[in-house]
Amino acid sequence: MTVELGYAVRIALLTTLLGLVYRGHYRDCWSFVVYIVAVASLEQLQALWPERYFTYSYYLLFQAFFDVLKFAVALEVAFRGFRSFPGAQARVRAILVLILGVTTWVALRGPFDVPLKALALDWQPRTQTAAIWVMTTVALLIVWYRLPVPAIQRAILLGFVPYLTVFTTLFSILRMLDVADGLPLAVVNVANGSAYLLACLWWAYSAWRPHARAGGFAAPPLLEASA
Amino acid sequence: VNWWLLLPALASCVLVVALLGRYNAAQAARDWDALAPAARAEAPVEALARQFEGDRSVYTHLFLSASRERRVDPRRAVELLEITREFVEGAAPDRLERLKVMARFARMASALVPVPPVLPTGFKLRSLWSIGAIATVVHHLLVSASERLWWRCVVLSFGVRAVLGALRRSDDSVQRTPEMERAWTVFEHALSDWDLLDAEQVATLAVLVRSSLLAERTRALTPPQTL
Repeated sequence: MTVELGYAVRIALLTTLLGLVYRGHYRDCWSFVVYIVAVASLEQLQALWPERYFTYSYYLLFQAFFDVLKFAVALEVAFRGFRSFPGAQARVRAILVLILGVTTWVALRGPFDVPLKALALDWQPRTQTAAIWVMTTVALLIVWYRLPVPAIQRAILLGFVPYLTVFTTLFSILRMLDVADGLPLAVVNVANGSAYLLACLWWAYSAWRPHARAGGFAAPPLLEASA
Repeated sequence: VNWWLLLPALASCVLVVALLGRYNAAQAARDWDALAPAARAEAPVEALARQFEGDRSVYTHLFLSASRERRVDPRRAVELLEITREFVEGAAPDRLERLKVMARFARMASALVPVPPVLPTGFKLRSLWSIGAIATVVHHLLVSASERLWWRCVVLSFGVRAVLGALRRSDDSVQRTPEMERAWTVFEHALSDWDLLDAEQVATLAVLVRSSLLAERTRALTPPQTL
């Protein structure tokens, strides 16, 4: 089941990538393109050579890379969305610095000298929560300042935040049960894979949607002058 | 379970899905476009001031006529007072709608022009004086000029509603007891506060328009940005 889900996810990611390139949305968030390529290729690597790459050490390494890319996506959306609005940009910069500072402190408080399984259970929810906070901040400030962000950036945030919430919840349940193998892990893997597949399908749909650029409108003249 | 991680994540998810999911970026872009032509001239401010001046001459004339008739024909005076109240009530939706739109634009504007607070000093009604006093305190707690502009619009909306309430109550009292001196005084004070609110609304529109004009001129001086 997990293997089939993995293939379905990679197909959805490739569909998203093709849509981003075909519709030209890749220009709206380069780091999201890098994220999709990284997830699709590294997970394919795990599927092809599981005995070498499907281990906790590689899992944590890959996840760390994906997490960096998630933060990059959130920061790029913030940078692109707010760059033409100096007042709002100063505000978003201050809030993001505060959130990143708090979340770094929260992440650093996690245990380091524990087995890799325990490290995954403890470390992942913290990092994912940090990503959720950063993305939520960016999303709320976009809504507050009524910024005309491209539809694909909105879709990226709308895909990430619910999925990461599911991911954090599932990992928190595993942590509560204190198990990282056997049936609970298999169930969590299927649930997590299904949630991620839904997010990927949403991104694929948004990437292929016509007129999705800039929220379905032509770039406003007020912004064209400064872009 | 790390509830302190999980609960904020769930709350963030709900917020993002509810707000960003319903967020209409296309409408936001149209609003920005609407802001641009308005910013090209201060004609709207002058037009609004003229409209308010016209309204003022009508309800002042009606109220003075009602005051004069009090000694001669009390029934006619009560009728004229009711017409005055109906005229002001008829003018209120236009003002409230404008304030609502300005509040929306205020959040989008960089608001480069300093925004003065709505001071309580000029108001004659006690409720308006209280609104002005609270507004001034909150004004100084807010950091950015655009937030202060938005707050100004909110306060003026409260003010318009408070004046309408005072007009209705005093008119009802006069209908019941035409010789009731206090009700006439409250009506007169409410009209005076209405004048002040109109003047504040014109000043608010002027701040919004000047901010947009200044922002456009500043942007014209800035070299085009490239990513």
